[in-house]
Amino acid sequence: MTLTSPSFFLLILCTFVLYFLLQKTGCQRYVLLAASFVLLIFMSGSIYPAAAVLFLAAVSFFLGLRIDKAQKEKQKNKARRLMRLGLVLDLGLLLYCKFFRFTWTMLQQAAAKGGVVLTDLIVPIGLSYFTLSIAAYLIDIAHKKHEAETDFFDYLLFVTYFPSLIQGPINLFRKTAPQLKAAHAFDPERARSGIARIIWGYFKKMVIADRIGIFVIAVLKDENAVGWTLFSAIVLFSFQIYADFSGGIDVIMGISHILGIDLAENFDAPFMACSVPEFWKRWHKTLGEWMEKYVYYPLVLSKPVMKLSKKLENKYLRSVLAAALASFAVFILVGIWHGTGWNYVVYGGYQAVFVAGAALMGPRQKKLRTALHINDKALWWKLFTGLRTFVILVFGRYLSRAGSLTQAFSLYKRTFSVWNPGIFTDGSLLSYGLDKAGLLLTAVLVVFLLFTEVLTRRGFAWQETYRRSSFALRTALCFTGLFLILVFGVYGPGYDASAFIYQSF
Amino acid sequence: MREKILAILQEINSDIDFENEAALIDDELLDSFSVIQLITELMDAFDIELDADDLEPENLNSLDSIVELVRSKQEA
Repeated sequence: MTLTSPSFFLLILCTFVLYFLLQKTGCQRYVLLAASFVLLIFMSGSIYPAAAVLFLAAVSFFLGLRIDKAQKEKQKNKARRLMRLGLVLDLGLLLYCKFFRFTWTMLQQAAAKGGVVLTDLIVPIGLSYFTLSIAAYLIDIAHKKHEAETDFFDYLLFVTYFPSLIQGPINLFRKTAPQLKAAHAFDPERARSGIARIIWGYFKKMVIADRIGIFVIAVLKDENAVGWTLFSAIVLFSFQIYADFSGGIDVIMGISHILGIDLAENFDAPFMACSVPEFWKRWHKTLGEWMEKYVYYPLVLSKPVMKLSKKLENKYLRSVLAAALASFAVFILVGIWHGTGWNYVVYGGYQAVFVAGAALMGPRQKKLRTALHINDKALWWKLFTGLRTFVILVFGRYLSRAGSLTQAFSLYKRTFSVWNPGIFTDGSLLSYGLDKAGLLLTAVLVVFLLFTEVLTRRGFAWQETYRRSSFALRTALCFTGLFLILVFGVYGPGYDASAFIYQSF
Repeated sequence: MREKILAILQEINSDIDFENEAALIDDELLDSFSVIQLITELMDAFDIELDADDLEPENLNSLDSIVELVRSKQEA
């Protein structure tokens, strides 16, 4: 089952029908649970991942109750010990699957040389998302932010809620669980805006991301691609990954919105960021917020780190050095979350350099701007800093797109080996899967995507405006979107249009 | 205490109207580095212990809530 397969649409349709038919019976949660496990089994292609998820949910549910009990009996140390045990089991499974998948791939390659074919390692979909939700749940109980869930089925639904299994967002118990417990009647208004968002998501994925993907894959396969050709491919990859990931999130949010459950937004116009730290506030927000709350702050304010920073004489350094060092730890974790190769570790470190640098240099930069009479609210300054941020991020994308660190360095080397701006006029870009019309359409789509970002940044209320539009206009917009997906969507042979990039994390 | 906290906040970012702003965290006016600066300054200035548990938006969203947080820590 994939996100564009008829079986997925059938699953969604059956879920909607049963969910709303059973609204008054108190059985809505069982419909969602059934949908979650169908998705877990059919997307993973095996029953074992579903069994592993069930086991992890049962263990963490039990530990949650024990932590809560220990807290209520004022046994703080016992609560912390149980929390740590839960985190080791939960995050241990995540790390095991991530690292073992890497090892398994190497074993597969070694076995293949000897003529032995090993099947792919089966990992539950959504593992990288729900394990972080479970970790937050256990930490929050231990820190008395909320009580433990006492109903196992409600907890199981919080862990496995099917839209979030696909590619997040990372749900927090306090925000999501109450919505999952409540009964939801069918709301035509929600259905209309939800469907529109689903169509917009598929448009971003199938028309924008997958079209760009044709060019990016072809360029990266060509070992003779150098200079501006490679750089163009990575620039376009930056748009591809955004359209792919945010498109997937739009589909998820749309489905969930129809069900009456609003999940946390994951994006806020990231291409409008004027600095790397701002970008990370706008990109994959739920992961950033999770890292900030459960890794960054506890690390910076931990006793050993505080003790260390107090030894510094300089008052400013004392307050920001620990924070800068902690951001390295956080971003290296973010890198590893994306993958276990060294390229991901360096990718995390690369981002941390700019995030920590911005914090350490912030006051000096401000003084310099004031001395040079630069108005940081001026359009030219915003354009300059936005472009600067984008270029920094593009060079970071080399690391996340490459299959390994060696390949990433090879791509850098090939990019800087030749100065060949002539490729934009001599037609050589046409040999990478897209003809002239295809490249022009890609350019138009990227500009369109940026235009939507500008409007979002300027506070344009998409959903509210859509809701207030006339029925005729809304219908026309939905049918136009569907028509564009059907006409311009990418469904080429050998190209898996439905595989969302972040689904594999 | 209020004046002292206000001075700390203004040293961190002089562009914010801390007297009237009520969503310092929710509106992302203070980023994570500023929050750490604020927390370390508060611990030094008032000789209190703060940890990650205290960094809830409701504790840091306004000057009043920060004053309340410091007061509660002094009384604890």
